[in-house]
Amino acid sequence: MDPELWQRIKEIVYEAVELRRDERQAYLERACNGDATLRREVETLVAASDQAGTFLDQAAPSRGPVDEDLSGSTIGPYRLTVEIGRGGMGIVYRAVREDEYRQFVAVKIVKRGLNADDLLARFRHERQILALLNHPNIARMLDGGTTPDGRPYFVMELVAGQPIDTYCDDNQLGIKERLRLFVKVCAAVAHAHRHLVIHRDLKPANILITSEGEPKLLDFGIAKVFTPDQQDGGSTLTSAWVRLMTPDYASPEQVLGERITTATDIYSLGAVLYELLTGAKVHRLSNTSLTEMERAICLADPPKPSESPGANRELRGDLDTIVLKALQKQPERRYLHVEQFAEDIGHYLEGQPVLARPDTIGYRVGKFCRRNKAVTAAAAVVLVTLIAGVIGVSWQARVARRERAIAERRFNDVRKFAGSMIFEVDREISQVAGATKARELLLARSLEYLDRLSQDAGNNPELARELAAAYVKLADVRGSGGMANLGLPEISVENLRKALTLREQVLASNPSSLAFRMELADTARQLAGMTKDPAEAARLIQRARGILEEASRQNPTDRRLRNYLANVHFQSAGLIQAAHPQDAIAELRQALQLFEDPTDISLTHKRIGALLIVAGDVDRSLEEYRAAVALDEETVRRQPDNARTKMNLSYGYSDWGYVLYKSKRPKEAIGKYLLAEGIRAQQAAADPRDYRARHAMVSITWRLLLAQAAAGDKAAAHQTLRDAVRLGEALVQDFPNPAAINELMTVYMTAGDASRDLDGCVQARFWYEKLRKFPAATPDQLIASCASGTHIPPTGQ
Amino acid sequence: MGEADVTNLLIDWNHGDQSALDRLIPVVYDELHRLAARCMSQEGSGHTLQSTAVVHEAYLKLIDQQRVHWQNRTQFFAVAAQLIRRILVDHARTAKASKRGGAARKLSLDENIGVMESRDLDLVALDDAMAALAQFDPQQSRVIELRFFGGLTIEETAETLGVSTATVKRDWVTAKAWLFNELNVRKGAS
Repeated sequence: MDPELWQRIKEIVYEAVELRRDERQAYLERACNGDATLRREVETLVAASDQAGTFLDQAAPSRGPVDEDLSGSTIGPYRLTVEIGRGGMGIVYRAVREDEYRQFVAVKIVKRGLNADDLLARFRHERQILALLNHPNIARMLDGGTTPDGRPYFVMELVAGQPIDTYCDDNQLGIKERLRLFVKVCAAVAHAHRHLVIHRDLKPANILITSEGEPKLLDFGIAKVFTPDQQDGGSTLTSAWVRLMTPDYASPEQVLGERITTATDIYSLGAVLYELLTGAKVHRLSNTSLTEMERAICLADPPKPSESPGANRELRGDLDTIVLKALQKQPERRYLHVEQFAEDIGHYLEGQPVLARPDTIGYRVGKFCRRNKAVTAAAAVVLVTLIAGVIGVSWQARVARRERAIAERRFNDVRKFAGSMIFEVDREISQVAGATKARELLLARSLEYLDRLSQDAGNNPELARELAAAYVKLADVRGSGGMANLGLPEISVENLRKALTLREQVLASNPSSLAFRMELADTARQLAGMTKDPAEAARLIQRARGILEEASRQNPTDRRLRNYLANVHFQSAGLIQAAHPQDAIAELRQALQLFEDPTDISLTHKRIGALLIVAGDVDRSLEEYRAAVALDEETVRRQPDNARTKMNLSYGYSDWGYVLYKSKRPKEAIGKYLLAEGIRAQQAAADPRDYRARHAMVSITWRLLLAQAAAGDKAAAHQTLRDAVRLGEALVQDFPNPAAINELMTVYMTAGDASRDLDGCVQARFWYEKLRKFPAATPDQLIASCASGTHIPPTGQ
Repeated sequence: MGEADVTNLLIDWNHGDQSALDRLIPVVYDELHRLAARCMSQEGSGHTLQSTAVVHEAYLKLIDQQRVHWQNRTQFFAVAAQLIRRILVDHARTAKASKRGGAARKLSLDENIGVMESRDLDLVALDDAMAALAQFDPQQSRVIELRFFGGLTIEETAETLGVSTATVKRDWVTAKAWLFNELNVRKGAS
């Protein structure tokens, strides 16, 4: 393009875009002054500008260097009066609610540049939990929304008070008074922890003391909104967020981006207490260099409070020990929970011996300590029960020597309960369409606490075994075969590897145990099916086969063993089917001999059918599908509410239809496809977030289109074509991943092929053109083939 | 190299020492590359969306914010925008090369579903189109780079380029239209 011409075009386009649509024509008429080429160019760009919508906008969140002062403006029902604070996340205003509820509140407006949609979605999710935080020492979260320019805001109870550090200094509180105040803060934090809310950003500025001397904690749960857990997916902002934190109170695990637990708050509380007692910060950070910050927080031992300059002698001894225990680098070496921290301060105030011990090697590895850690984690698992509304065990797992026996008994209760959560509750939920997210949340939460237990599992095979089972379960919902899944195979692999390691440990504790051997073999087998490394897969499957074949020789009639071995044959077929299809069929036939579950038998028939069709043996392939579908239909009849078996049946219909289509029996194929479509439409509607069901729905629609076009049913094909395009575009909209994009491309390609056969090249071209926005497509080739009459086979690359 | 050094280089550069820029770029590039690599290894939304987070993170990490003036900050973002564009586009190009030909219809049995990867399909095309745009309007291409890859606001972009905000607005709107058209309509497949 000629640069000068472009300058002219640019001016005109910009003018036009700024105008109302009905004014544009007249303007363009005038501006282009009869130059048809110019006019065409300009009109194209004006149209493009209209269509472009949020193109490129989304990736360019403005990071506004200085957020403007919004005092005096109104957001929703709130009129902002004056700025009362600002921090990493945004600016806080004092505001008044101007409708009938006239009320003074604090409104925090999030900085520009943080993704509003994500934040709000997480806020809505968190709000339900935050609503439970009804405690006199915690500022209430009242509301949340978006400003007219799209920034999220949060509305909180307005607290008149002073940050705890300045309050203590201004009122010249002594050590004991400071400690008493701090114990109240702990009580509020403990309340939140009981409701599964971790503050994550405790610091003096978030702990206000009212004029009555009562603490009020601000911003509970806010940090969570800004830092989704790894399990929640999408952790883009996490590490950026940590940089926004005040490093003086950040724990090592926050700096390192590791898992945040209630122990994180204990650390921050420790840092606050340190400062309250000594007037100095834990780490003397001379600048905010990240490396120095990391070193100080993660490696350097903080000086004892009593050794800080001008420190009160009263700190020496127990208070040193208490503060340093809270500030341990490793979360599991801190206090088990906030109550324990507060109780220990209470012991000190009452002149009783404190629980915290100076940090010695012997103490560290002591059995007592380890046992208590397990109990903490167990107590944490109880929280999971609260959220599920299945309260079996009370929180009162206070840990003191005299209560150890009780605590241990509870620990076992809790273990049992967690097991029930993961296996029984999950099994029930998994059968219900629409529960994918709920299942994942449930399992992730349970696992989060079990992870803490697993730190103690080294010499406890029973515990290691339960944990391994939990990891396998989570891998299952995260994306391995068969289940509705959220499309996260890498996490599945990760969990399976953890399970494998644990199971190796378990087996080492008793190498002759049949159960342990079987479990190890089965996990190895599952991992073989998930890993992307073929050499690893082959090695794992060999390992599994070796273990199970030896065990079978010793226990020839064990049914579970037969089933495990069948799975190995099945999995092994998958690994070799591309290179050696006949061998794979032989493996699958062996699996058929061993499987007892009709779902497994059906799937094996389907696999054999698939390999036969690749080999060109249509008749025998149809036999396999007939057998498979008969079994699936029977299963669905017996369990009409089971989402999974229904999807299995739909795959059977669809693949059967495909074989019929390939053998030029399109009318019969349509019959099978419609059966499959009926099931998938129902599943996709039940849970729009179920990627697998949505993808399958798109897939069946274009398959149906091909069959209808081949059968010459023009009217039906036109309708199906529109459906396919609509569903495909919605799929990519909701799940913009390559597999979905590929599916949409397939839809366009199929639409083009069908249009070519039904309506001719002009219509076909419309669809083929759509492929242009995808880099790897070959529309020119398709258009050329259409014009010249050559036919590109539908399976062509 | 610690953050103080980067800050000094930035200040030197801003005071007219061009060689400071040469020393600055490798440090910033390395940091961005490391951060970008980490982002890309995580699942989640597309890279483009993450690019601004990466730049911000690098900024927070490398620059002593208390010592750097507002003007220095835009300079940093201007450099970073260029670098992050290179990193992300290179990555997208490699990823694309490895799945070339993958667009064919998989007309087969539908038991299995592909794995998720980050969406980077359009980035290479966008880069090419930006290069084409730069041929006849380099400033406009810069505006896109700063805003899209660097996450700068209209005001910051104007500041960096030394033009008015009205000019940036016009360039932004029309460049978007041109690129959109280029990517969606005109551009043939690669």
